[in-house]
Amino acid sequence: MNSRSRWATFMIVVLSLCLVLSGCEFKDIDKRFFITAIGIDKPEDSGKKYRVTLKIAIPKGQLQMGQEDYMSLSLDSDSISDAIQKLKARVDKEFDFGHTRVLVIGKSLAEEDYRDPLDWFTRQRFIQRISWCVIGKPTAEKLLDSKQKSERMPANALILAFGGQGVESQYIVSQYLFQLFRKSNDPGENPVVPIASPETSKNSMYYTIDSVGVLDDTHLALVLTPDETRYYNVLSGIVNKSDYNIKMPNNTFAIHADQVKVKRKISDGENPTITVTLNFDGLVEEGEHGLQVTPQILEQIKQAAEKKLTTEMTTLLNKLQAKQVDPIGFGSLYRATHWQDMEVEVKTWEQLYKRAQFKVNVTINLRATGTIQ
Amino acid sequence: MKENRFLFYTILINMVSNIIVFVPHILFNGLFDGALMSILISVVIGMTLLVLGTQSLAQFPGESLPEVMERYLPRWFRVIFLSYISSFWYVAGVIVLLAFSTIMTRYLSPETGQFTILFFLSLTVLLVVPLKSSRLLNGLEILFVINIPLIAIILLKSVLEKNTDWEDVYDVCTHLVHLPTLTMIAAASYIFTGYTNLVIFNKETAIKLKKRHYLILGGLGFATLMTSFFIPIGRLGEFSVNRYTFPWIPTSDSISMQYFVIERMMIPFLLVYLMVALVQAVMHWHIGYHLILSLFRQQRKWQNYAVLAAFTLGVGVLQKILDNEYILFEFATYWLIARLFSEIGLVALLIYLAKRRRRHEQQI
Amino acid sequence: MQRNNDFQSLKQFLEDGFSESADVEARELQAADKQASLLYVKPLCDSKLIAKYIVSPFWDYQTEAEYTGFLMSFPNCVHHQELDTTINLILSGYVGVFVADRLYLYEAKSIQVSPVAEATVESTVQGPQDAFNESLMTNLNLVRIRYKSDLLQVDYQNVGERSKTQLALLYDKQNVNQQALAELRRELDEIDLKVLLSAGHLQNTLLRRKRWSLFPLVVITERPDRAVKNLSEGKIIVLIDTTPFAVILPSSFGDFFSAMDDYTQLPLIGWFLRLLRYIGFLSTIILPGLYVATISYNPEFFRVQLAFSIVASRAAVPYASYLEVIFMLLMMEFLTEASVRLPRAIGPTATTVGGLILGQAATQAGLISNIMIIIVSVVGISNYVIPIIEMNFAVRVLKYLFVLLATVAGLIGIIIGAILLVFYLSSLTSFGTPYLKMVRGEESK
Repeated sequence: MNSRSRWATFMIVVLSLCLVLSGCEFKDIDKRFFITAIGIDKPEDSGKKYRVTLKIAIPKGQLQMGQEDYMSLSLDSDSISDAIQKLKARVDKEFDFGHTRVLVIGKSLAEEDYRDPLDWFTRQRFIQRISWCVIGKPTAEKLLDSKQKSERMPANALILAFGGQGVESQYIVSQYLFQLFRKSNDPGENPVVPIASPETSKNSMYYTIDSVGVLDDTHLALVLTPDETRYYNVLSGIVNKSDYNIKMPNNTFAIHADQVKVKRKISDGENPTITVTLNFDGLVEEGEHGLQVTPQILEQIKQAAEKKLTTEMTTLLNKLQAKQVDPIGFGSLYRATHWQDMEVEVKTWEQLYKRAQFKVNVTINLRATGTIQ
Repeated sequence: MKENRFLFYTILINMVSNIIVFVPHILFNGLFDGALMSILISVVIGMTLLVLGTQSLAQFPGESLPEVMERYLPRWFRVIFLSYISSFWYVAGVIVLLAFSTIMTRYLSPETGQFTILFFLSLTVLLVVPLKSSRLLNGLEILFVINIPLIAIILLKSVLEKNTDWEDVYDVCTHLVHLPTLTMIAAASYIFTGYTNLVIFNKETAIKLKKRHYLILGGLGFATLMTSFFIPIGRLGEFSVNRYTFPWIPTSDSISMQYFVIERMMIPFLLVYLMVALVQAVMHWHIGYHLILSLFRQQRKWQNYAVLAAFTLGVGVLQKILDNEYILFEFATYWLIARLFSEIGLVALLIYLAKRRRRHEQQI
Repeated sequence: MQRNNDFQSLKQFLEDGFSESADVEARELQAADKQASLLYVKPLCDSKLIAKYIVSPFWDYQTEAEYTGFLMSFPNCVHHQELDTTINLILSGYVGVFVADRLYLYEAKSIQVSPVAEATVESTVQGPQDAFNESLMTNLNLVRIRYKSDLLQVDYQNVGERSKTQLALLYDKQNVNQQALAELRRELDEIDLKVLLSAGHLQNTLLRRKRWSLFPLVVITERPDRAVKNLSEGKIIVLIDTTPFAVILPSSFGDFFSAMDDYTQLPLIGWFLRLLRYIGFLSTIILPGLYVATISYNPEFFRVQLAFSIVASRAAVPYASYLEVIFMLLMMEFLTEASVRLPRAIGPTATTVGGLILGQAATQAGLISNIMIIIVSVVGISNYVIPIIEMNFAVRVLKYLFVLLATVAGLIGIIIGAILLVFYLSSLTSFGTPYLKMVRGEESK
């Protein structure tokens, strides 16, 4: 019928229009280079602001461990976007940042000012919010220009190290990009970023990620030791399992603690106190000199452990207070429990944090002694 | 309940689509200054309007608003009012399309220009709009059943995901006692406006709503507002959330599905919401289309094409005017405020008509 | 004697008209005081019946009256005078017996059909295996023994100017959808066909207005149990003489996805099977388009490890992804179509050869990627999960549309396609009932 065939012609015209209009975005997957990691450094020699390193994956046939190839390109420039555009001129395929999972800021840049790279990372639409943020030691470039033997994919070792997908370690702190941005804007909490460094020993390269840097409003303020990192992880409630060496007068034991419950309380007033209560369940992991762990010895271990943990955690908290950084988020807790206006709360907290006393109560319940007594 | 379910679908899809129409964004601008209070007030206002509106329309089973108005009101009033109201529905559809094409351009395919995406989306909507209302509702039912479980899964996952900062959420709650603002009330009450689609759909459904239905609707609306508002705060942080231009997109991007084929939650989220946006745009334009058509004395074929062509032109024109994201956002804000007042006017009209009918019946 | 004249002229006319055809028999039976002549079309009649019930009794009875009484006592013997009806009946296998100035038409139809066979097109695991065959009477038999209700109404109708194919409309008087019945009757009256070939042909003529429709609006089945089930739900069955398929209308989208297995197995399993079919439907439509969209528009869609293996497998392919997809899909279509048309002897070889060589060798030659092979095989197999063939064909065409949309607009195109598809299906009606509807009276989705 007439209207039917008119309708059909209309559809055909429209469809052909569509065919003409399209094709802008059409780019086959094998004409793209996948960037798996970006690193931003402060260049030492040239006078430019940033050195941008891109880790480009070159896929090869069947994915096998350690056989992947990568390309690492660096360029100095005054703006990050400019550097990337210039880098594009050096390759044959289009950059695709859809799979960028690791964002590295060089340590020297972080010590100066980390806000600009963070701003760029967050502003870019193609970087996933669930990318991992890392500080690279000594530089981001060196961290990225490395390949670990068991990697199936460039930068996979770094990706798997975070988030508990691969290894679950008490010394590794994982920070997503969105978490970093969230905490950096929050006046009551300071972000922490893990520090990773490439190390080689006996022909194999590996990444050491056992410390964190605490960032204050503008720059890297404090680097925690691995032990302190572990305490930070426990205090923040991130990590459930931790292991400790307990030195006693005659022996050293190692205990494994899990099922940790952390309670934090802030009391203000004339003498503001911040109380942190921790409850562990633990078991003895390692003994010395073949000593049999009797219940009395167990009790002694418990006392020693509690004493050690209390002291060391209080030291850590005081250290953080001295630097005026609050990565554990007491400020957030304060604001969440008080009903005043935002500006008032922020100011009050600042004063309070300077003067607060920390009290840590640790209770360990040693349940067992392992397979043998 | 069998006849009620189409009403439920329109209301629920409207609730879910609030993300696209900048509602959370407007609320986040006043996060510490009365957003939460505005939400609570808007629940009251929105539900009141919903109850009054649906009860009034329930007096006219099987008739659409233009037909009812033709019976009881003089022609000049009907023409003016319907022209005014139909422009609201049309603009609603345009805002949804423009906002979503911006989102698509930004996050899904940046190299296809916004114009091309807008062209595709508008074309799809235009193809579907002239269908009969009952068929449209059937299609809506199917898309609803496909999309709502997906959205529920996304929301559930975003609530249960770790790394959500609940303290930020509590903190926002502690700022409850502030004065609300008109903008935020208007924005939050958008959630409850799905029932206004009944002005045309009433022809296909016969509403019989009981108290428990209203309670369920109120609960769902409240829950939607809570999730739209608090989930981005919890994930993105109360201080950062209003720095994002479209807060929900990074929120969905911050969720990772570790044990699934697709790791980034953002893309399925965008695709599901694309379906929701298209369905919303289709419904809005369908209603606007029928409202305008009812103004003509005789129904002819050319009028259909003319209205559709006018819609297309309007989209093109508006896209040129509102090409800046900020301007679009401001436009949407003003539109939401105007919409609130128009909705109050519409409900007042409906109450008046219902009273007229009752008086009419008593006379007979 | 008016009647005698009419009778004579009738007889003369018939003999003149028919005798030109070599297969028409005109025979005279003459005995002492009785006389009869026979006129029949030999290929249409069963000679044994004629010999036993027409010729022999002629000699057994003494008078013509007794003979005619004998003839008339048979249920399939009628008595007519009108020319048109007589011609029709003789052409349908009736024997014209001219005796005592009257014309008796005795049905001696010989039906050359295959016996009641097993269902070949739609088979089930457990459940009755018989299928309709080309004889209308047999089919009616198969239906009646399953639906022993007096509410079952059978209406006859003839369609086709030259073929005069007999149709039987079956419906349950109490349950039937009256609107659909009225519309069907209206449509059948308006049919203007010379020859009716098959059930599909009927389907096309009934729905001639919708030339661009891709989706079948009536179910064509060869199973009597499906027909009977649909009868009980208020549908109308059209049985066609000379076709072993029945037409069920009105139908909705869900009907095409239900096989009789859903009802012979436990309900939960039936539900699972149905879900499986819908998943198959979705995967066969969307997968090729999804491949094009993710490869060429948004590679960040999948996990990074998956994306990398896809890149690696595509490394050797020299042309764009949509060409690859269309090429493989077309090869799949060729294989399928060829396997239907090939004679039995060559069939299996060709398909094996095609499958193996096309798949493996094409990858080795670098013409297509590994992933593409998997996708195409999944697509091909899940296509055939759909029980009713018409929907199968519809889906086969539909996936190209999705590939086109994906090429043009990427993932957005797929979503747009899905929405357009849903609304298009919702706008279709099959004889007055909406095509795509979530919730229906008794039927489940």
